[in-house]
Amino acid sequence: MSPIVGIDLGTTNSLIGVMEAGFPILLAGSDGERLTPSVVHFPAQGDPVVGHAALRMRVLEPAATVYSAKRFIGRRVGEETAPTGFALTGAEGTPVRFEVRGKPYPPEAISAKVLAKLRADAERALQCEVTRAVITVPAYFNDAQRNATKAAGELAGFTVERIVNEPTAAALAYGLNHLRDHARVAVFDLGGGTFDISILELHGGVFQVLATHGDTRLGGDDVDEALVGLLSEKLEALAQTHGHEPGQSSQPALRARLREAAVDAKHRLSSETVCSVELPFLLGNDSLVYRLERSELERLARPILERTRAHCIRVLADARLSAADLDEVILVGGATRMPLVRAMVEGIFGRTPNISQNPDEAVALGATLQAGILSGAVQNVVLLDVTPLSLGIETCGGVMNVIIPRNSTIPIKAGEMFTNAVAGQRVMRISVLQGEREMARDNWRLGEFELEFEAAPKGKARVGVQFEIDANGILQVLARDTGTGSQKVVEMASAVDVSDEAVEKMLEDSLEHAFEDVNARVFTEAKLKAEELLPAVRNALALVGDALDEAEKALITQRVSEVEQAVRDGASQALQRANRALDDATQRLATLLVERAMQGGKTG
Amino acid sequence: MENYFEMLGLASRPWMEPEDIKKAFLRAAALCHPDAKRNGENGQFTQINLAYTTLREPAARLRYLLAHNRPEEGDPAAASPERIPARWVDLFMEIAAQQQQVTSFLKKKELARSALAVALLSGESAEMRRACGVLAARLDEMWADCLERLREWDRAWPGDAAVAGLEVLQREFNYLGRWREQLREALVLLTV
Repeated sequence: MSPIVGIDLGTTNSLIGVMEAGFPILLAGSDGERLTPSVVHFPAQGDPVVGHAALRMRVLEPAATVYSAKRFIGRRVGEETAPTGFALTGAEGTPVRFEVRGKPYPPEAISAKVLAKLRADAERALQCEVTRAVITVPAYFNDAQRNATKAAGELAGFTVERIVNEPTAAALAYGLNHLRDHARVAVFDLGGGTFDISILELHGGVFQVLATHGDTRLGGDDVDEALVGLLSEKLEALAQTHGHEPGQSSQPALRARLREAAVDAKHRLSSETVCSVELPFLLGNDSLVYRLERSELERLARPILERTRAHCIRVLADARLSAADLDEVILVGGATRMPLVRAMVEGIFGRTPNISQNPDEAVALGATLQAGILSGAVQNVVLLDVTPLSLGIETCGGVMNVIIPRNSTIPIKAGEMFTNAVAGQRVMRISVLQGEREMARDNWRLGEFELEFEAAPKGKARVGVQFEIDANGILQVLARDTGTGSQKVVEMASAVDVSDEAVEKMLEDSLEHAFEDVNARVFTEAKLKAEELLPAVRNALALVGDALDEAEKALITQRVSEVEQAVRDGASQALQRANRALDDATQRLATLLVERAMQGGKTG
Repeated sequence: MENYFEMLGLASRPWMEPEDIKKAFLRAAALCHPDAKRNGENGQFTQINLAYTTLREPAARLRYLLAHNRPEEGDPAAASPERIPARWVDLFMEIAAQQQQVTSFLKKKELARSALAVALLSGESAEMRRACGVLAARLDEMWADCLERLREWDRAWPGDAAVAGLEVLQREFNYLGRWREQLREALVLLTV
């Protein structure tokens, strides 16, 4: 029988491992590297290229090179707005498709190519057929994202034995050396595109997840993008000085080079405090050289990374713990190499984070260990994981009725009895939701199914429905026939599985008008922000303005007039920039207000 | 169907040390998790899981225990509409008013688009956190008092007096649990 491999299918990089003689071993590809970039390049002729070779092509042919597919897996258009060098197609609300060389690809097809490459590498290394896998996903992935990841595995020729949560896998890698301990740990997992924070209790060989929270659209990618933004400004300045056309930074090829330089600079600034970004012959004979200090990178990264804080507070509250109750805070994910991330984690949890785990490899090692649990190679270890999101159904009035609350241990079953609302009603449509908001419309709609009733007076026809979340965190709905007692699986029409023809039609309808709409929306949003910001600045100055020196006040006044001017001009990009500049200029004002509140003063 | 207490190897009683319930669950879970049995069968584990979620918190545990001690009448808590204990009506009004304030404040905060606008609200936010904290501390005290009474009834268990006393207590745990949950949620939302 095929061995079971463990796979970390990452936003940026992927890894594969296998149990050997009781230990998890990560396998190297034909190029000798264990990390395989999750990048797929489509050459004009021939088969797609995956991994390092594809990454090298990204700078040369950005439009034909797909990366960060994980950000889009199981999603609908409009949910994920991360900019990419390749084209996205699809009408708002339909499944995301990448368009490469005129052909549409669903994100799972891209992930499948990465998985197939890993599989081929493993088969070469192990010299046997490999058909069974454990694949990791961010803990905060919803049902659709999990299903799509499983589908990617199947497309790559695997039987997916388990979908396991990344922070849980990392905890397993950490905990295997601490099997005799009883410990409470938090795993802070900041990867390329996703963030998870999980709290676990280790009781001997039982790993119990108490709570998990996260953001599937927050990661190192976002820092890269902010840095690309900064470098774009430098590029535009360079273009202006040397008389090139403006708008250079929106050219995909140049943008891809800026991105490569940004990623490289970010990596270097994890160990150095200053580095030189050098892009020779960026515009004809003109080169871009920029001295980037760590503090400048951190100024850009801080607002992005600050978003992890709320999730940490939330997960502690859900686990009914305070930070002091934790024995360790373990860091995993490539982005936790940033000194700023480490400092922030220390600030949030009040302890020095544990960096004993290799940030790139811990998740893959954990996935391999889980494979070992399933094959029997690892004995007496069990993971008790949880479902990250509440599962419910829509009731009349559009309210979400929770059936399985978030952080419930899985596998779990919950039954619900449905009765006919009027006499003779034969069918009832049920909408299944995932999320934490009160109103159904604010949550993720998993799909819908229909229940059939016997003809009966009002309230007399009954169908029992069982919602089961399995160990993969994937939902199955069973309807029990009250007459025969037999159960049947209810097919849910998933909102993500729209047929290809329907998608293509919606595509054609929407593609052309996208640009104008976006522009108008950006301006409206920016104007609303300006209308709020201007009186807020006046208020804040009246309250704590005395604490500022004249230069600070003058800068704020200048920024205010820039915002007012941009509103009058109706220029959306300029207004966004002006708003941001005013935000920056008033940072100290905001800090002063918060400090004043902490001291018990009233601020209105 | 097997009794939840028996499934976890616990005595069918009102009082239980939280640590003991957890240990019993982990022991049972390690044995019947689909990974441990390697048969992919979820049925037994989901039963254990349900038993643990039911017995873990006093309100659900008492409801289950009482329902199983008078099966002919069904679930008493489900049969009679739950009324707030008379001496708690004022407290309930206080909590409801507080909740309303928090909700409207959070709406205001959600609409704020800039860091500065949020900062302008920080005074109000701190004041609300303080008020919620005071209320939460009061509820914690009442909860501790209920736990104390639960221990007392446990000594009188089983018996008619205990059943009557526990029915009252079950409702109190139910309300207190819900209010504490609401306040905890409000505090989180005010903090993040």
